Amino acid sequence: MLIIFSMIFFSLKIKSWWLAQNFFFFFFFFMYFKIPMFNYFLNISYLFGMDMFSYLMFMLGIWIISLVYISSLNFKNNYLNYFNLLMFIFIIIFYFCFFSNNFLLFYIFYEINLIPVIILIYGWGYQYERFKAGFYLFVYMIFFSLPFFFCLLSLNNFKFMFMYYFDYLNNLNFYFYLFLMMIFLVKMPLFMFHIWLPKAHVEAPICGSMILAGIMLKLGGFGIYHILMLVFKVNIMFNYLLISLCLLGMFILSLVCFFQSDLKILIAYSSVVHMGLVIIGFLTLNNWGYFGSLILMFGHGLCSSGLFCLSNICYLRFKSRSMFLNKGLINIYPFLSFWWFLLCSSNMSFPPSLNLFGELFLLISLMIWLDYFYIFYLLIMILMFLYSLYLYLYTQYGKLFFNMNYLVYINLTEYLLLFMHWLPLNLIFLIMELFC
Amino acid sequence: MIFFILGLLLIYFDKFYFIEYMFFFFNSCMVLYVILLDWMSLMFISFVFLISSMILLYSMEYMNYDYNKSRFLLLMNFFIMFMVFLIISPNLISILLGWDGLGMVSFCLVIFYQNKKSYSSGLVTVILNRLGDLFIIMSMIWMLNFGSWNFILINYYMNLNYLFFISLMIMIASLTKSAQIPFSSWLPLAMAAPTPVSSLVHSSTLVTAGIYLMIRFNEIFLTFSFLNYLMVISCLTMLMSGLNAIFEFDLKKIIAFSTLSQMSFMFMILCLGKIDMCFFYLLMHALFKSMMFLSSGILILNMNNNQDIRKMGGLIDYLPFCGLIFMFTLMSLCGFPFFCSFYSKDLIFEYFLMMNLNFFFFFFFLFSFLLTFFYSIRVIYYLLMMNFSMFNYLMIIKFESKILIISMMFISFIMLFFGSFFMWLMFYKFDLILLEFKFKILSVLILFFSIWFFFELNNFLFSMSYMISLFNIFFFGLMWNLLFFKVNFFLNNFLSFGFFTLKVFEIGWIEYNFNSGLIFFLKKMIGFSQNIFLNSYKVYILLFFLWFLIILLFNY
Repeated sequence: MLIIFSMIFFSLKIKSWWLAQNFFFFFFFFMYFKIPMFNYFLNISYLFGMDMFSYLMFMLGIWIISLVYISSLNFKNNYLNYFNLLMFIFIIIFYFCFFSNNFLLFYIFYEINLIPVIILIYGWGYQYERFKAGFYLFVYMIFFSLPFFFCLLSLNNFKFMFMYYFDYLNNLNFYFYLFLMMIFLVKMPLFMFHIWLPKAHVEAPICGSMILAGIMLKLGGFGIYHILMLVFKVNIMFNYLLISLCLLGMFILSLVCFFQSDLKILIAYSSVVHMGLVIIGFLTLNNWGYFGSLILMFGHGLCSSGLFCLSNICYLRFKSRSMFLNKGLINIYPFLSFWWFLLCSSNMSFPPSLNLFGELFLLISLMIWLDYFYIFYLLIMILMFLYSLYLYLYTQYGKLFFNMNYLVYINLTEYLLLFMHWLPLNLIFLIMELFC
Repeated sequence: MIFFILGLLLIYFDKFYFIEYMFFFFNSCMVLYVILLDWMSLMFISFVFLISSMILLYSMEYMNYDYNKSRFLLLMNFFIMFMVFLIISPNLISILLGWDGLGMVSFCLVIFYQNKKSYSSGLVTVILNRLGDLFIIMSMIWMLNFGSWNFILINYYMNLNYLFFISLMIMIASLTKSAQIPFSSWLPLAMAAPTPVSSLVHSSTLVTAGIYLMIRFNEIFLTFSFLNYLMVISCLTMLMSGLNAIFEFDLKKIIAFSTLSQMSFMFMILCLGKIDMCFFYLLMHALFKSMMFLSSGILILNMNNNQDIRKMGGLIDYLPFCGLIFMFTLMSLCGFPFFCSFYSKDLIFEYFLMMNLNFFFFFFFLFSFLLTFFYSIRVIYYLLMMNFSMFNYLMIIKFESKILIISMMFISFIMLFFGSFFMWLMFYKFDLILLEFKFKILSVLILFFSIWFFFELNNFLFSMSYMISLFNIFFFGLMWNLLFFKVNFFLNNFLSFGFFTLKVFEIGWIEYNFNSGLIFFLKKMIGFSQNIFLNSYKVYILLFFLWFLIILLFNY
């Protein structure tokens, strides 16, 4: 922690791009030595403590941020100091969010998290519409934050300020449940509150969308998991509403994916669908669902940020994200097409990837929750498969768009970036004891 | 070869090896990777490796002028690897790896030539295969009740209620993979792939995966009554594919339909409970079918990528070796005496006659047998015996290079002589077969009858073609309307609903209420509060009086 704080003050002075990248990369491996190989609590102090969930999410955060440096090489001369500062601020916020014991501390940093994202979108974004997108993001997040704060305060007892407190509250009503959950469900996002996500993704630069898809959405899941502990009794009564809304929303959104002409919007919608699965897994309130959501969140963070990287690579060559222009890439970049295939197949839950194990666990949890609900889920699974295939086919096959920029070859760093996304995604299944 | 020798050893010692690798242990459910090596899996692996090695040798020449041949090689290797994953593992989780992988890689191979036709047929292939994956996943979920995914050990648990669901799901999954009747539209469409690929797919890998799974798990399936329904399905598929093969003019599609009929023949044997014989026929079928595709590939190459059999003819003079092998394969397809599949097919035929089955099955069986003879004679007639058409005279290249011939020689040698060898190897316990003389010679009779029938009917068909053409094309020619599983089906039903939801939800009332509505509301509120704080004296006075009133009213 001291290292990070000290790095903040130096970050404005750092002129080397790779120094910062290497710092994050090594920080990841330093953290790796502290791995708790069991699902209980570790390193608990007055304010901070961690379990497997928070540890894994934080590791994902560092990994993604170290990859952000590789991905956004074209920002090298674009206010590098401020970019460095922003990344360090991100790391600190994630530290406080994931490792805090105190609900109030968690809440504060959860909200502060918005500010660097907004700065990232406004500062490094491309189009004029980024202001509107940032406004959407801000309004959605802030709108549900105040009721949550008041609910938290009205619990009126300091023992509930601790996140790992396992006493269930009896005297909560539906509104408490709604307001306590809603702040996280918007972040996840739940269906009907997801409009900010595609807009923010489209306007954000590659680093912004990687962080958004990689870690920001996971904060919501992390919050839901801890809130579920508090409102356990009310959950059992009202969870069916949210689960059925999620299933309906996933079905509709996976159909909506077929009508997108922008690569980034398609990937954003697919991540909304995956997050719907995660919400279902938490709300079914059983062990399979919890671990399935954990695995799926980890897998989705790697997979969808990898897909965003791919779309950015195409954007840099073709100067467009449109699916009608990014066509026939297999003829000019056959090896890049191979990476497209690998990441798309991970997105459609191809066997060795983490997504498959997550979805399998979630299916089991859904079947435990209600017998024949999983048939809807299977319908959604085939639609998920189809839109990932659609993404792959439309970009890789078909006629080539003749633009001079495809003479720019793919760098080795970009292959390295994709490899770093793909490798943990498809090899972690060998150490699945990490999750459960 | 090593696998083959190991398989022989395991038959000899009657042993098997069971290797487990545990991924994780969670809620008392073990997620395992299991490798089961017994004579069946090793023998099948050895056949897969034999055929695929010869096909790779063949495609070295066949794909020589293709720009993307390194990609082709890579995909083929992946394909073989996933098939081996499928073969060696009896656990459902590790089967899913091979099963899913086969579907995806076959999709990539079907769309290898980048045109619109292969693109759409690849989509149909992959969607139907994915449907099978979903059925496997469904059975995996149901198997949670047993706490283990080892399907092969499941008869120890024996909760019949759940087991019924599970085995039904597995059966449907293997029906999708083996392209039986509700799902059979992808098999002829997958002919858009390069010829070595379809050779590999149809002989020993993708299509046979379903029947292999059924053979593996036979102990569970044979306890249930739905095998009767499976038998009806396989009978209908056999009839449908035979009829389609008669009305088809595309050479590769005819062979695809013959594969379909042979697959359903295998399903039929399986339903009768002759597991070993089914497996034996699977191996023999792999041999001659791969040869058939390879020789048809040479024909297509020489005909300048023309697959229509009406434009071929008299090829025995120009491509003698290739024509010879094609003839051999067709003869072994018919079960001609002393060819490889004679030993299995004739034996199965006699078993079938001995069994006490009703007339429905008997009729369908004999009629599809006749159709098999019929279309193979038709292909021989069109390719080898008909007059050489002038259309080809300009196109023929006369190209039988050494690599192609060597690769085909090797398997055709095995195909000709190893049939009896395998029968002596696998059936060391003989069953007694009692038949009347007329039943005994029935198969030979059918053969000669169908030759006569063909030459008689051929004139008839062409003279009457205008009369029956509509019925032909729309019913028999198009696979009994099973082609509605095309891309258009999904497009019309799902995507129109998707467009509706897009219009109503995404850019409809979600956008209006939650975004425009909210933002409009906020703008109004901000405007209101700005009006208040415009330093207007009137407002301050009003606020002061309000405040004063509140203090007065609530001043207890």
